[in-house]
Amino acid sequence: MKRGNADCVLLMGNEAVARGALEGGVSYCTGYPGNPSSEIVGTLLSVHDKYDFQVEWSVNEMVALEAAAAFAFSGLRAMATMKQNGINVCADFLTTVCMNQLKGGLLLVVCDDPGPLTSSNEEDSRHFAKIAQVPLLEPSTSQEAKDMTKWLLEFSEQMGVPCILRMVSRLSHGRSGVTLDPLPKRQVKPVFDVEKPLVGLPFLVTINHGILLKKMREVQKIFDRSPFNRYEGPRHAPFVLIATGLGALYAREAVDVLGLEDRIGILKIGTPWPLPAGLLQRHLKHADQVLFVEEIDPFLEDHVKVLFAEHRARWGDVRFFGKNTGDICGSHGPGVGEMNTDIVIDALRRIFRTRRHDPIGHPKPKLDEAKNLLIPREISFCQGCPHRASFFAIKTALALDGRNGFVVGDIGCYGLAAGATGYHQIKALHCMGSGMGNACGFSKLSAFGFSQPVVAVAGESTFYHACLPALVNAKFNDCNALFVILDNSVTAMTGFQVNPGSPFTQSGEERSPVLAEDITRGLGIKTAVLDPVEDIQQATEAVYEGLQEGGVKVIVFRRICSTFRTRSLEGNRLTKARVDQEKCLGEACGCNRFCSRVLGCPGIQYDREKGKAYIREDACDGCGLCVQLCPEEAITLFDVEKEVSA
Amino acid sequence: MGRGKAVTNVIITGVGGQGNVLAASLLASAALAEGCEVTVGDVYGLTQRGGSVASHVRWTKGNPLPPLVPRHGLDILLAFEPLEALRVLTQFGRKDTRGIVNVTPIVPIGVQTGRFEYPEPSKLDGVLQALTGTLRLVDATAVARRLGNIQVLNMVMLGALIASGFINLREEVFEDIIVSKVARKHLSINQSAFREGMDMMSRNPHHDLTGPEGP
Repeated sequence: MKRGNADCVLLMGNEAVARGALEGGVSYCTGYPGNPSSEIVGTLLSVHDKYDFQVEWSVNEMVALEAAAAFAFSGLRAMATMKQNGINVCADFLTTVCMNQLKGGLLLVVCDDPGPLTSSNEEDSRHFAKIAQVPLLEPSTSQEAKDMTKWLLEFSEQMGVPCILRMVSRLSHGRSGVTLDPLPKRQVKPVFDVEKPLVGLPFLVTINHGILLKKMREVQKIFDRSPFNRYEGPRHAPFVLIATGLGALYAREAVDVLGLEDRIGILKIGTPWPLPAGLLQRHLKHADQVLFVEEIDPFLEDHVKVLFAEHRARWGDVRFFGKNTGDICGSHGPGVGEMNTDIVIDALRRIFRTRRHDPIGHPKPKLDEAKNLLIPREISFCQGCPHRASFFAIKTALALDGRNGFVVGDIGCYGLAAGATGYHQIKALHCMGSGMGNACGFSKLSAFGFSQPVVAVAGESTFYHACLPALVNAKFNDCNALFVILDNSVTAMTGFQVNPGSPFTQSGEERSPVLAEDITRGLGIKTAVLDPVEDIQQATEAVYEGLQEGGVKVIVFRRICSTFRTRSLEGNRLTKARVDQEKCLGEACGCNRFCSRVLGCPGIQYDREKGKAYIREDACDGCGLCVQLCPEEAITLFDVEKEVSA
Repeated sequence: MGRGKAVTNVIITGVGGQGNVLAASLLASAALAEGCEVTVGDVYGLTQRGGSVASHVRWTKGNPLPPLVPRHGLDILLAFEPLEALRVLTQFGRKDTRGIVNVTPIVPIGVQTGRFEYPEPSKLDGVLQALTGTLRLVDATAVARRLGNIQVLNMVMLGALIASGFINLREEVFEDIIVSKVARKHLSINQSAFREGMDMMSRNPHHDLTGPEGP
């Protein structure tokens, strides 16, 4: 492709998907934020007033896919986006909606996170294409991400089946050049045909399942000829490298670096499911060695081996190399962590016994000396973060309670409370909403002598997404559970998306939020609502009392995310904290350098020479938490503007 | 890519909030405008909460490249923070890597809380020097402060990169990219920062502590 022309723009993989959706005539895009997928809906939200389509954040991925499907039922094209955990949430609907003949295109975009950069699991979503028996494509570049999105919206409509696009974090957040196509005009008026009901009654399922599998055999033939699959290399190469997604780029670079272009054929598969069996047979019947390069699980590797077993008579002997054989292996073992060029180079060097491309790095002693100086840069709650106060209140209350209690939670900024910034309070962290469900079970352990109190925590976005059934379960089954909702008004970890609890829209207009306490009180659950930073003493007492009472109790700690408030609403606050250098006693205080060491706020530093704490004004939010907690009352708030004018 | 097709590998590193991602995107746009095939590998997500950030910017006249620089593949390092420079060099550096490193540290939270020690500046500089072929230490933070906005540090560093002669992209292309990509209300200060960065590097092109080529 010609680069450097005016129509070629640099796009992030997720932006390219958003563009592809518009080019593919999408009428509705839904999704739940989760890295690395969040920018797809984010990008579409930023342009939704310019084009004629609907876009929104959904309460969770299940609702996102169900809502999108209604458009496909009525003849319009729709797309739902999510991270890999999200496809688990919507799997029940995915595996039933695939049985229906759709009128409009329905595309599920899922972004996996190999070598997790921002996830609590390492999961390969491609298996869901096989479980649901729906077509799945995997792009290698932003250009392909755009082209495949556009093509899949059309193809899904043509075949009447939902389709999946599988991205990975390095592609979703990577950028490369994309040549844009024009945007279409919508021509269809949506109608739901009541004469053709879409019902999954048992006696219809076997019929529909048969129709689906027949469609997939057709899809397989189409994929055999798809331009998204490409072969590069010598004709009838005895060594074929099968690669998909970013794996195709890592494979290409490794082969080029080692100078093995004349000996290896690279078969790049853009359509991993259904497996393009005819194409694979054409290239593999001449091969006697095959290497697989793909992200996370040996998905193609396993299925090509099944194909080989079926055609063994014609293929003859083939030796397979990949994750199952341990040849494709990163530093954490085969099938674990992210793919890269070096992993492919190492595999090829072993297989071809070539010594080319010997590392030209630094000698080990020099490198070891350098590594000795390295210290980690841990992430922490931001200055003014309400979670710092909330977990301090929980920590103090659990200590006062004295029964070895602990916190169970889930993912989100508050998940950082499993680390130093949240005083290591969270002791079990899995998927969205898991803390509340776990708490129900811990409560029932009392029948067997279990006496530790349990605090379940979740953010407000997670509360609406995944906690409501567990909360109703706790009430229904008479659990003793304290549930703390950490309501900071936005889904902060993934980039400050709005959720049902936000009192504003994504573009900043006021709206009326769904308040957590309206729901919990409606269930007859005793609920307290507090700002944990405003009065840390009161917040601590509320948690302590919650631990002493029986039954289900809810505390809502509500205060807006300080970083979102600063960036998007008010700018920097003019109130800052300062340490009175006379009153601060330093090491002599006995507070164990509480403000700089225990509280761990980015704004508070300790001057070792002077033996006093001080506050970096540029990193102070002026929240006043340290003011309340300093035992010598050495920290006070002041108004920056007044001081300047005085 | 193919044999003989040169690849340029740049890593821009710093701490979340220093404007890394925008700098990488501008650099990549300039390479794209010069007719190259460009790939940027960004890592972020949790990183906006004060963590390490590294953007891999790669370009070539050949086929598309993957978004990660291979080991020992680093041609040019542009580091907004010295500890992060060290982190990248230990992973991707080789003997002839050329680096521009901003010397002002951003202290990690673990140092603040007393669990870790930030390396002594002289020791850190020495190790950075040992791990590079050519090293330019600059105080871009001071330049950005003087301009009245620490947020333009990324533009100062980009200006320094262009003036260093380490990369083969033209200044005019860069200036056009800045005009087209930076919001109008911030344009003027960003342009000044870019030019100040260029001046900082051209005034003192040999302000490197490496002396003769390293061992």
